[in-house]
Amino acid sequence: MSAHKRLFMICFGVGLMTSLSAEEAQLNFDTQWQKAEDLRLRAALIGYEWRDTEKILRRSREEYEAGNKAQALSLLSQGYAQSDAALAQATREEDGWKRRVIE
Amino acid sequence: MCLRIFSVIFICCFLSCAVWADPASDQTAFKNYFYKKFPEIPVGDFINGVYAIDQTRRQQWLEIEEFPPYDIAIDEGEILFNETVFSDGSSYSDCFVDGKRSKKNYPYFDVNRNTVVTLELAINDCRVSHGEQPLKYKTGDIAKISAYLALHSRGEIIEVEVSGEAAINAYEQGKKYYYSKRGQLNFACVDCHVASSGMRIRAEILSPSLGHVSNFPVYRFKWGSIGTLHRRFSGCNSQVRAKPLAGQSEQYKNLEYFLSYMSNGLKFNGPSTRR
Repeated sequence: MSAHKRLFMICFGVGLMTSLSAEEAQLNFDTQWQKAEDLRLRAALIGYEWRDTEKILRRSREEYEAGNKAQALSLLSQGYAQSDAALAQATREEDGWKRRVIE
Repeated sequence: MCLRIFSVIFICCFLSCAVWADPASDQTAFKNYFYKKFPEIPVGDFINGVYAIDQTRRQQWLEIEEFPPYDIAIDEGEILFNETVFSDGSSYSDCFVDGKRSKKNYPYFDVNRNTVVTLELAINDCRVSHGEQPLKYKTGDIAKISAYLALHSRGEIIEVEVSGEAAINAYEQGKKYYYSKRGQLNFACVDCHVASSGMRIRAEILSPSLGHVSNFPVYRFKWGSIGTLHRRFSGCNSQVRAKPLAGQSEQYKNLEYFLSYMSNGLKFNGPSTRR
């Protein structure tokens, strides 16, 4: 996913949540959080998870539950971006490593 | 048209051969790189890592080696290895017979299990087969037993064998891991320990990969204790902000297999101390 698309999704998410009822906002946060978590797990499965992603997503959940929604969304977007980048790295390295082999 | 197809096939074959070279030519290229980069280092001295490069650190290290901090771990490892009696009345000696306690036998590829067997894995296999709980893989008792066995393997030659399709596949996976960038900092093992070996990273000097496996387990001052090679792999992963893998994971075992093969011909000199 491109950076513009991701930014749009985050802005859209923030905008949507501010205009939604509490229940709808919770549901929306949960959906977005689960998407980020699924990406993280996909990266973990192939050994490409980054060190802090799980921690960031966990903190995002904690902040949301504590009512700090802006902070929660900021962390969520960080966690999402890290998982996405880790998967992109895995794809890139599927062949990219060959360029570094000592010959 | 035929000529064009032939040319494309030829180029594809050539490129794939360049990357999927056989382990022996990989090893030659790997060693030659370091011999060329550090012509002043005698070949056998690569087992001393950064202490082969920097004379001041070497002097400090040699002084530390007079009363090495891993001595206690060796003594404890000796007791653990020789005096532990499993619940079925057997001991480690029953598993490590006929020279199997020597480090030169590890890692090896077990065709029946289709996996690489390291010394630490063999220690835990022994425990499990006699009804005991496995030990933690990165530090603690397993590192102590490993240190005791390493001491008795000092001077032996690393001679890892890679033959057969499955073994070559494990080797290739280890090779891929070594050369792949990972983590938020986007680093591969090769970035620090080949291209940048001998260079400074903050106050430290990056060690060359050649000979890396020879001195483990090591007592690291940063850890304040003795740890296994897989603990060090975890540390490297974490430093580039990649999530470390579990000790004895397939990836780490394959990486150890690859690195050990690259260091074939050098001597074991573990346990040792590192900063």
